[in-house]
Amino acid sequence: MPDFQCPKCGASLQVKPGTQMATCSFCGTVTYIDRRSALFFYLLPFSIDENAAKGIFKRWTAGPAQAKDLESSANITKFAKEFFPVFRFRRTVNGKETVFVKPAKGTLLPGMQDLTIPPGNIVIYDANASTKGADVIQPDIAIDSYLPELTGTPIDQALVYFPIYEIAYTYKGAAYQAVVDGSSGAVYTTSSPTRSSGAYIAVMGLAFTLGLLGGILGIMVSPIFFVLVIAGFFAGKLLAARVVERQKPADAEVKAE
Amino acid sequence: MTEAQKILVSMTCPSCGGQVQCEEGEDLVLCKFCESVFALTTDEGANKVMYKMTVDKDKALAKVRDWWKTGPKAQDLVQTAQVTEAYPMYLPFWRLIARGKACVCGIEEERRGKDNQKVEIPREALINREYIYSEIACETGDLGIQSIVIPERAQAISYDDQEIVTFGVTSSRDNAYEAGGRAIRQTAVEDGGARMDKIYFSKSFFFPKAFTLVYYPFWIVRYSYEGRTYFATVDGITARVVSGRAPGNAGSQSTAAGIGGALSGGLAGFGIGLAIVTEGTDVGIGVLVVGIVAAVALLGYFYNRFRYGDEILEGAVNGKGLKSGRTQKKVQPIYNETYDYFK
Amino acid sequence: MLLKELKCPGCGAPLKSKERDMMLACSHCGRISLFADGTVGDVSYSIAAPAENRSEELIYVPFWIVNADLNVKKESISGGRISRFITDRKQMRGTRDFYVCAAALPEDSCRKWNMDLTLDQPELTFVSGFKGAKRAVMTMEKGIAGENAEFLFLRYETEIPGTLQTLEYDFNINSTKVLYLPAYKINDTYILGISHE
Repeated sequence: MPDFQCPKCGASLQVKPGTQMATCSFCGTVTYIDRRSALFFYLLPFSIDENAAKGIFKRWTAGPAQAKDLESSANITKFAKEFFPVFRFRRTVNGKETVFVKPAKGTLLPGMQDLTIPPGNIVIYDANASTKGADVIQPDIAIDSYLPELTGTPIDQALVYFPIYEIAYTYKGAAYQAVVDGSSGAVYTTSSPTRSSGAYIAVMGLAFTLGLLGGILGIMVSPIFFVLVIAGFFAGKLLAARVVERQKPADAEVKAE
Repeated sequence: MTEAQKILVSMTCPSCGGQVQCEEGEDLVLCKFCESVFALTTDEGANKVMYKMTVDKDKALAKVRDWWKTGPKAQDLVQTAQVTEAYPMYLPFWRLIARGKACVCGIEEERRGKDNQKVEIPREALINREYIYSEIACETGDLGIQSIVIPERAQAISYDDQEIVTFGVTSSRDNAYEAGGRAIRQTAVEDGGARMDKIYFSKSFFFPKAFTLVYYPFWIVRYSYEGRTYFATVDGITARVVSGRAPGNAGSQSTAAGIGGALSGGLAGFGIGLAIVTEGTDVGIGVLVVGIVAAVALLGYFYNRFRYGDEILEGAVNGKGLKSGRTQKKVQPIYNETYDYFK
Repeated sequence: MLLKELKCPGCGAPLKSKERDMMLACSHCGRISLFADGTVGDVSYSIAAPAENRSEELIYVPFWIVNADLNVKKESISGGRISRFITDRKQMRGTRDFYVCAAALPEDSCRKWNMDLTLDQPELTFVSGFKGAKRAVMTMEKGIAGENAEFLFLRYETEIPGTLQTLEYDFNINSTKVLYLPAYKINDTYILGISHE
């Protein structure tokens, strides 16, 4: 069992086999043991409580780019307060101190690949740090997986528990995921549901009716009525363009994401 | 096109140190240098192998941009879409190779003669082929990847280290093995009954050869366009866009509505008008029927393009949208060891 | 994934082989063991005597002999009745030894031998050893011999004149054993060295 050194004071760490956390008997720092290295261990507390997060998500479902009845018809199946593990790499790149944040667990959740850790709020993960009310997700990726692709030279490496709200919802039978960042309040999403059929059917119905009238009257009364078919085409196309038009979000909304 | 290939894994001979090539499914291994004989043991009963990622981030993003230019997608995708995430991920797949044999008997129905009489031709078939079944071993949400084809000349290595970013296996090994066996046996019977309209007797057998857990590399790319998020997944070795969602072309959607509605209405109206004017003669009724049928078909096709042209789907993605691209079938035959018989 | 060295169950010496044969012979004590389920164990096998002495090289081909009771309860075949009557084909019914070739020889030879031997049920005399003759590599494991025997029956019912339409049967296996049959390699084909029609 290789010896590990406390990253803060350099003393030798006693690590029980099979565990991944060790407390330094000299300075009390808690470190995370990642196979070959001992990492600083931090936690970023929640800045957004559960109610506020629900509010943020609701506002997103009511947004102009989403299906019109998403807010009312979406059925939330999971709204979990979690700490998601990430690696924070501080490195010197071209003479400047740069921070890289990478997920420490394989995930397909949106937004987890490049989270921002606000430097002021971070807290050392020790006996005092509280994870109450939140599930702690364990890392399953070795930190060495990322080292080859990082630029610059290393300053330090740490494991950080990052606060998130993991959301799963269904809409018309299909399942979707979203994440609310527990520190910044940003909403990360993958695909979301598209609009419902009502307006589409109406538009197509109108064009069809015009065309039908044009066809019947054109044969029975006078060929001039065939022009109704053309009218149906233009009416259909114009109205359809209105239905299909995606709402371009106001600039303010874009910045918040 | 690409025939399914068996995986070859390189290992070191414990006796002499020479390189030993283990073929997927062969648990008796020989070292050609020292002639020692070994049993290939695996933990948890399935080999674990991985394929190294050979596509880099720039190439993956370039392929996604190419994909944006194809098909009925929004015209300004390349200029205005913003990539929000692009990261590599190894996804686990269960892969079962087995020989499927089946005996299928039944009849083929044909219409012959002037009166188009139905004739039954008795048919029998024996199927004897190797099949490969692959299925994703985790919940990928709506990423739209179900099975894989290993590209030719790709080299597998034993997956013992966790030095790669993977998504954990969530489906049970035993379930996957059973599902694979059933799927292969079913495919063997389907292949045997390909020319039959009714099957009277079928019996299938399944001889498993290999069961491997394969970690295959992908790039997951997420991008936003006009306030909505979309994604694309890129094969980490062939660089092909395997699945994805993209916004549709609003212009072609509205045109579809216009043409579909007006034209189908016009055809239906034309048919009805003619039928009334000719006071129900055969020609009139004939045109009416043709008109209605054509109108319904057109209506359906153009409504689909109008309503679901919002999103273009690639691969096995769930949900509504215009589908394009091919979905990878779960069971694929290996053609060079086939001994079929058809009568 | 690990490579575990295989040792002779009789004398403990490491087993060596030039080819991937499931019947592995120990170079020290000469004992033959069967590789199955990741380990080597004892196996009982018989060696059939060649019917006549020939000059070509003798090679013993391994077969799985599946002794089974076949009971056909219902069968209907469309057409071909006269052909079947005229050629007086043997029926594959009742208790018999099903021959399943376990070597990686040309598929056409194996298929023909399996069918002919299973229909003929030849009477064999045995010898006690290989006497230095080569053994063909056994590549088929015991576990699948039974299903291959059943498939052989289905193949027979399908290949006879007429088109099989319905079939109901019971196939119950009594035993599965190894039998080596003598063969001669002439140019690129193999000829069995026992008499059978």
